[in-house]
Amino acid sequence: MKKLLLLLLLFSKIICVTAQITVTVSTTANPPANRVLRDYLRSNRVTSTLTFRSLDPQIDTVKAYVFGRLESLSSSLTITTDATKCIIDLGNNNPRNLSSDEKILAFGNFTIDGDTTGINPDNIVLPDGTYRICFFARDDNGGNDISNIGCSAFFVIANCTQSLNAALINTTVKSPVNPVISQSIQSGGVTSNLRFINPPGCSTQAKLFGKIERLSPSPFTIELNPDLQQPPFITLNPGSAIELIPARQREAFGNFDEANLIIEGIDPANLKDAINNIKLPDGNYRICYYARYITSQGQLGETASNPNLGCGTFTICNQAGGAPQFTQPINNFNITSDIALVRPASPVIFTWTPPQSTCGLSPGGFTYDFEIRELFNNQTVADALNNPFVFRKTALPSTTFLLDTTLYKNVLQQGRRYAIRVRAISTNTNQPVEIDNDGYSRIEAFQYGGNLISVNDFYEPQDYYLRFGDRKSAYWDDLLTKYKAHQRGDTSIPLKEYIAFALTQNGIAYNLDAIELFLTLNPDLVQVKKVKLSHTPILPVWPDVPLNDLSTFDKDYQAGLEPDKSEENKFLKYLDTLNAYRQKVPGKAVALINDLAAHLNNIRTDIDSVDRTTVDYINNVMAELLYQLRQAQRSMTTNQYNQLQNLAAALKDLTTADPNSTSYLQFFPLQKQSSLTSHVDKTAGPAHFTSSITNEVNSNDGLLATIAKQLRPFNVVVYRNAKDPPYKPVLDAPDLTAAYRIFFTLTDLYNHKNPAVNAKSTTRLASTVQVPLPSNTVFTFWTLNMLNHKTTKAQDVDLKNVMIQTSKVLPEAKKLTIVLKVD
Amino acid sequence: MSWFKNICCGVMCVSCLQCLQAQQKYTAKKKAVSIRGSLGASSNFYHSNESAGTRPSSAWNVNGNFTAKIKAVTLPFSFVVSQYGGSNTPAHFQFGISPTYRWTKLHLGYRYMRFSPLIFGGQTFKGVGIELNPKQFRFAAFYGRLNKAFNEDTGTGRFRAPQFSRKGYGFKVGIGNAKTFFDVIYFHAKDDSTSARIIKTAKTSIHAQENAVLGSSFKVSMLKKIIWTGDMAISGLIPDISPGKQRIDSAHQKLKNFIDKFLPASSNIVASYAGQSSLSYRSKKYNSSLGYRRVAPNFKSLGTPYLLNDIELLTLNNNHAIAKGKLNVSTSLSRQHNNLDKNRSTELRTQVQNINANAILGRHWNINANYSGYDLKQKNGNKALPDSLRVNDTLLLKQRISQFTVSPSFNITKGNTMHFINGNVSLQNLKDKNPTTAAATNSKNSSASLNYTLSFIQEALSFSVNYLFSKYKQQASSYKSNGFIFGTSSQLLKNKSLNIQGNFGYYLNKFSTNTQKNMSYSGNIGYTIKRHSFNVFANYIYTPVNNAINDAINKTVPYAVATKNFSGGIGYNYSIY
Repeated sequence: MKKLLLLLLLFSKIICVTAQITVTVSTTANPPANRVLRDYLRSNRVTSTLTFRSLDPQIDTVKAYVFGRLESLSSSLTITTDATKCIIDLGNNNPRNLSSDEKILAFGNFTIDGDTTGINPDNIVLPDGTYRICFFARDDNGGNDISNIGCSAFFVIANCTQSLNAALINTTVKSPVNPVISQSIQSGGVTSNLRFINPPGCSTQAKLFGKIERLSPSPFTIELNPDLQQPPFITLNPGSAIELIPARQREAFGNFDEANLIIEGIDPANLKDAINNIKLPDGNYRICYYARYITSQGQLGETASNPNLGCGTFTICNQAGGAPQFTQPINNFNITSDIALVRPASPVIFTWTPPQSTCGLSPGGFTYDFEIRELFNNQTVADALNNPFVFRKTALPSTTFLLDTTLYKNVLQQGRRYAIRVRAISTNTNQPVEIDNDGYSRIEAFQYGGNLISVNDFYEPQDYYLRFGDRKSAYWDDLLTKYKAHQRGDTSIPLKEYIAFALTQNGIAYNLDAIELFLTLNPDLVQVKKVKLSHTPILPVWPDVPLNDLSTFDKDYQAGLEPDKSEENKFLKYLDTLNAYRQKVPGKAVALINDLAAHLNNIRTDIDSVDRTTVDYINNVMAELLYQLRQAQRSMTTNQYNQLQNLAAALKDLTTADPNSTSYLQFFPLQKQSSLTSHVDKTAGPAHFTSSITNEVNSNDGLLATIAKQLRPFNVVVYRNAKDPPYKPVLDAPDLTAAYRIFFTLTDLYNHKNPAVNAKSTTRLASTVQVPLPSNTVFTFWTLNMLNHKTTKAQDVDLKNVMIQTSKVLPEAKKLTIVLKVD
Repeated sequence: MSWFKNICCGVMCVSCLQCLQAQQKYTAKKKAVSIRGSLGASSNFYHSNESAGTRPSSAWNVNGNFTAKIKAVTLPFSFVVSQYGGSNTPAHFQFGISPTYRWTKLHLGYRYMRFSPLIFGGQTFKGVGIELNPKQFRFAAFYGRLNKAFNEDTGTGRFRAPQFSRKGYGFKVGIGNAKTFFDVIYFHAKDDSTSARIIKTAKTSIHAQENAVLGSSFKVSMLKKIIWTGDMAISGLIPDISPGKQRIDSAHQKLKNFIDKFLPASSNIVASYAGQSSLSYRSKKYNSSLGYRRVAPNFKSLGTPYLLNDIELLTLNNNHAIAKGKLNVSTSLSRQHNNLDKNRSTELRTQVQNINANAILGRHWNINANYSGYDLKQKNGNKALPDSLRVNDTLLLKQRISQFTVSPSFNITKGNTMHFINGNVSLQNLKDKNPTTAAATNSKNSSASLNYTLSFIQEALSFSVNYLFSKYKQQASSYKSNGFIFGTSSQLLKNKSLNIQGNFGYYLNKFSTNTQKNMSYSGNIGYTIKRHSFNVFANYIYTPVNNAINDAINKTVPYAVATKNFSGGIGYNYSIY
């Protein structure tokens, strides 16, 4: 109750005082404040307006004694006067501003009270502090107040001369940063605020500048032109923090208009993306903002914040660097570019490395598209991209793919080559990282099973094949003999010749598979045109044959050497039939048949001394020849004539032998010497090359016949290429053992339509089997894989040179070899 | 109509070959003209309920390789025509011929020549080329189109990147023979920036480029067993030949000054270099090869397939044949790292180890074992960087992938029957040593199979049963499958030329707590007559409809099959020999 009464008393006092006031004073003191008081008062930044409102209609004017007063909030200092010199007349409702002089005069003699330390009364310079300036009016010096005390807002007298770096800018960058930096800023990726630490009241204006620096690698800078002083400006208010909103940050870079920017250390063109945005390349960066004062003259002043502070660091890592590299089944970490052979299995495992970031990109964040395409012969891996894909899997989450070939059947086919490629794709669709080569790995190729087809050393055995008549083995043998006897120097001979010579000299029958085996073992030779005769080649190591098998082979062979009466009778019967046909054959074949009949009649008496195997072959050929003659009794086509020629030649080969081959007579327990025509070796030199077939009919020169000596035991060895590097031939492996049946027939009896006709086959299945063969002729061989019942391509095996050469070089050798390649 | 033209060309080529072959028949004795080679054609179709087809809905190709020989002139000729559903481009037609006479070889059409793996190799050109090798002189040159232009395909499922038409030329001059030689090689290629429509976006990274590469290649064979080879190259690349487009100045200023002479003067060129060398030793029982490759940052040749740059690679390969080749052991070790200039934030070090052993144990057993290990390890690459700028350990790749496979086989023949048993066990483990990514990337896969085949030799009849097991573990998901495949095959007709095969498979799969199954049916008929062979096949995989489980499997375990697929095809091959 007591408090309430006091409050009422105070309220009535205020009303009473207010009723006496007839002049209203309002004062402003605008920044910047000037600590030299007289100057500040004299400036138009300090204003005071007095307005008289008469309460009595009779009174139009009033004389007012205006007093000035400066009060300090921060100290006890007051400046006032007891006697004003500012006396003015105020008209009713007519506001009046105090002039510069009147404001000075209102302070009279500038009476200073309170803390007067350091103040010169003659030239009052206010110390730092918070002040306000007030004016009020009295009706006389020492009279009553007739106005309120009109005070300005408090202002600060401080060092507001735009102190160097008085503002503090704090910048942070959110990762990951979009390399198109304007977009990153716009989306709020960069946050920055400014705090002006001047004393309160020291507001000022400044311009904001931005700067981006790449710290590593190779530094460069992008910054707003420091001399650019066009608006917009910002007002720096002490104390409160200013949020630098994205628009303000963009303005700090002149909205990334290249005309406003200074770019140093890099060509600006290198910073542009396809649509001319500034796109920062990978690296470590800092983005800095700083402010420069705008002086009172509107010019750029000192820095309001330290340009080296106010920075936020960030990393641009939008380039994931190297594209994926395959590690399996093709090891990309190799400097050779050979095609790898992949073992057929399920699953086939494909693995690759993730993109190789060099700037700290997160290891994850990719999916992979994997594809396989077939690679045809004579195509490079780059060409395979045009072929249909045989398999594709997209959006794989990891760097591995296991292809289940039992479910995805026929995707990979054995013996074929495929190209593979994987593409890494960033899962961040908003801000995809860039990967070299658009994320595509190098295209790699592999072969799925089968015998490896080498791309780098691609060759066809056919390219090295020489027909019998073209081979000069005896001639080269002579040269080599002379060289070894130091009678002449070494000789370089064409590679084709060397292969034939080296094979036959070492007891290997001449055929395409033997050529391929030889070249696979001697890959360096593929690249040369000529080889020195003295060159020592790498030869195959034949698989060991179990002793039991060897014993069986020998027994079979010995049994085959015995003459056979039934075969002999058959031969004589066929010969009689042939003699009967001599008068019936069409004209152009007469000479051929007569010559053949004459030749066979010559050996007629000796046939009982010939082994049954050879006679069996002779009979087979004669049966075919007689069949052909029957077919062509009235007219004979060229094809039929050619066939007859071939059969006649085969018969002559079977009944002719090399007279030089006497050295192995001892191996054949013949009952008596034959008187068959002998073949003269036509391979003695380049000038004498003729086929053994064409000339020997009339060459019955009385030499001892050696028909039986043709029968030699040949080991037939199957081989395949290895499935692993370095892909050497494999001649001894379980999968080659007892898995292949060997088929063969005289080449001239080979029936393309039905190979089974006239074909003989081995009874045993083995990687090595033995067959006794007349060795002055050509056989056609093929194999049948008994597991999958696939046959190999039939090919001719020429035994002629083997017999001739090995008789000289390997007189002690019993076993000659025929090699056949299987898959 | 382009496909029609292509087919016509193909038919004409085949006709010509038939004519040549006919001529060959009539001149069999003289052998003045001979021809050999093969012609193949195949067509496949595929239908499935996969969201993204793993095979094209249809595809076909015709291809042929022939070598005609007319006296001393050989004419190797090859062609490929192919097309597939959804390719969005005309049928691809590729043909070429390389007439050769003694030491002169002319290349016409789509052909390829190998200059150097760093400069020009593995890349076909469509144009003209020549190779001359008289005695010790080596010369080769070509001019032609290297790339065909492809517009950007804005349709969904774009799998082919757009590209500009690219023309190039190059030559090689050297001395020596195939064993020992030294070549100087130059290659130049330029894109036609107007040839393809490529939509420019902020993400576009395909630009028309120009490239010049100068280098050399050598090979020295010593003591018949040692071979030393080397390749060096300096490349100059204008990464974007569009007006006003330039790139960061080359770090190799001297190289740039040099290679500038081979490119338009006004361009800003990125110059770089690459080199590789290998030293090999070959003997009958032991082979070894030590290789080194360094490809500096920004090295690029448009004459080779994509070659990773900024890498240094060291490899060592060995092969031992022991016990007359019955035990064959191959090892390889490779170490690669990037960040050659040591200014990248991170450096990736990759180490690959591989050991493979193949043992022949007697006449019936064979065993093959293979182990491969891959270590991928990233570390901070720039020592000068302050700690604040170093890449956080959580972002560094640190993985080890191990893979072990063992495949034994056994076969024996008794009388009329042949027994063949083979198996395969494969284990794969990806161990991520970065704890922040480990959960997502760690995976463990294992698979095993055991196959038994019984063949009746005389009857040409076989039966087989195959047990399959696989287990895939990725993140929290695991997938386990057990399956059996029963099969039979038989060769019919008098000469066994008709081959019929059939298989039925049943798989019971477990995905997390759910079960699912697959059934597979496949048939294959092959017929061979003389030089012709035909083959027809059809496969069907049935997976019962259970969308929720199947979808989950497809999403989590991409190796598994949780779809219905039907595929088939027909193939034909004709051999001339």
